Amino acid sequence: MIRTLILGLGNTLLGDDGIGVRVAEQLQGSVSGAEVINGATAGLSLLEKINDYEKVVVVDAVEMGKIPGSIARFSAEELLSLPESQSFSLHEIGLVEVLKIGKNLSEDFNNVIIVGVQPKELNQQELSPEVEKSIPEVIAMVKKEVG
Amino acid sequence: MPKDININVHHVARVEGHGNIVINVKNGELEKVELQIIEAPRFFEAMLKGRRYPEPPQITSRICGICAVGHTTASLRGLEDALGIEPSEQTILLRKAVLEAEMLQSHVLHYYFLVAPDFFNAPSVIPLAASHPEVIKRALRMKKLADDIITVIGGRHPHPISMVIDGFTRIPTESELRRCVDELKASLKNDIPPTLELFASLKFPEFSRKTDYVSLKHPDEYAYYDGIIYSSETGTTKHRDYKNKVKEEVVLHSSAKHAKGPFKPYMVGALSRFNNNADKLMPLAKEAAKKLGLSAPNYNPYMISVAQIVESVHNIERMIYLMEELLRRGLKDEANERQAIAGWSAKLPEAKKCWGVGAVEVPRGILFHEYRIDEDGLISGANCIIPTGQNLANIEADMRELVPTILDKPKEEITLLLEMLVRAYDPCISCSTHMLKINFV
Repeated sequence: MIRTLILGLGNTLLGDDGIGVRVAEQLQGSVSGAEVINGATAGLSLLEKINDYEKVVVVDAVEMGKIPGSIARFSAEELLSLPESQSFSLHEIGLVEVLKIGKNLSEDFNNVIIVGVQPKELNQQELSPEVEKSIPEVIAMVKKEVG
Repeated sequence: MPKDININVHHVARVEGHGNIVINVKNGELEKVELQIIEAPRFFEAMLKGRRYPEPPQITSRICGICAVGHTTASLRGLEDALGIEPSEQTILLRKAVLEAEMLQSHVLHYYFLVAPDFFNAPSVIPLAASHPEVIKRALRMKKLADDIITVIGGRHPHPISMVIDGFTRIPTESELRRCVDELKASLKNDIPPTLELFASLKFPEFSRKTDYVSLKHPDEYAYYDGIIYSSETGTTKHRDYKNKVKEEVVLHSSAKHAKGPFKPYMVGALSRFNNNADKLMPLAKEAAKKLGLSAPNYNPYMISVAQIVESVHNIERMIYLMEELLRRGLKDEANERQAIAGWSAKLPEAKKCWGVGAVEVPRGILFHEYRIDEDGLISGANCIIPTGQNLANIEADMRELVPTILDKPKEEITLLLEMLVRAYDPCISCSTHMLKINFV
């Protein structure tokens, strides 16, 4: 039974926000021992999904205030410590909100690792060259996490 | 004492999409009431032009990640109306069941995640999860049940893939349906009683304004899938004549068109359906309405959420009934008798030039899909009228009547009451642009 999930999140219509989806597409079928899911803009259902696996590697665009294309590895705890926005609707519920709800329901999410990529441009359909260039390194990092 | 109040709620929270509320009162006189819709239009109707005739259900499903089954169903009904196709009884029973599941899923999200925080002084469901974990766990359990049923029947959640013209590309197995029935019965026993107890203990704001309540109506059932368009003020309209009842107009402060009656705004959604069809509710749903203090007709828009809870009970009872009926009849693969027509089929049955309309109840109200198909089997015209677009003018009419009665309250309280009013309608701005923030100026 597959116990590891690689989850690519993002909206491919919003430029670099699509990085997680692009990485998931490239990894599809190429990582043994892990299931790869294009989670796109999934919301609350992520909560169940995350609980179904021993380990979850999430790939997503994360605003870190760094140079575009920069990659960083976070625990769920570390991601939640980043500055946040206050908006909340069902269409906008994302990984951060899901992790917050889960944490408040006493889930620890020690099984979740986030590989975050600093976006540059969200007002276009393509990835920016900087973020596009980060893909091989993101893939290598995800594979290392899977082991 | 005459006073000036300016309220500007920029980006109303806990609604689907982006909208503002703007209220200007000068010397005690209401000058401006606007529900500004600021999302960009999405042009789905234009996107459909030139596509092959079975493709709209999968495309229009993407209008909404919450009402995807509803859009798919309205689209299928519109196309089948155009093509003169009468689906099998099994197909209709399965479609009715999956539509009930989506109604349950959407209602649970609305009353637990978007409405309940107002009564616990919580800005969102996130702190509510910490203070009342058992409530949120129950809500997540009910949502998961509904999601699973959509997956079992529709083949995928949120956007169903197996629902196509004249049938299903895959039908659920009997053991899958039996498991759904068992889980629905467990939910009715374990999750519904505490839900009713919780919401019966909450005090919803008092406000009453009689309006025109519009929904589908059917002689034999609480109408979701099928029925005639019914207005509490003007009576019945045949589905193909929906434009006699629904007039769309562009207003300057909204990127979503307002759709209203020829003479005045009307309400669609759970309270309209309840007001028009309460006698057709399943037995436990009728009991739930009594327990929650809701009787038809009710003219308080804040009670829309309560009508949604009543409908949730109905949804569960009705799914049990429909699934047991399917199991009693025995599920069969109908592919040999009739060819279901999918958008991705390489070869399609020929279509003549035709047009049709699908009118279906979805969580936020009545949804219309109209299609024109040309002699080459391509979509030559499409019109989708979304429930929120139909409610916008009615929400503004409510606000115009409500604001003068609450001017003596502090600005914060006025703002909260207006936000709660808008939230009660469960507006889906993204779908209606096809929705919402509050500004008191």
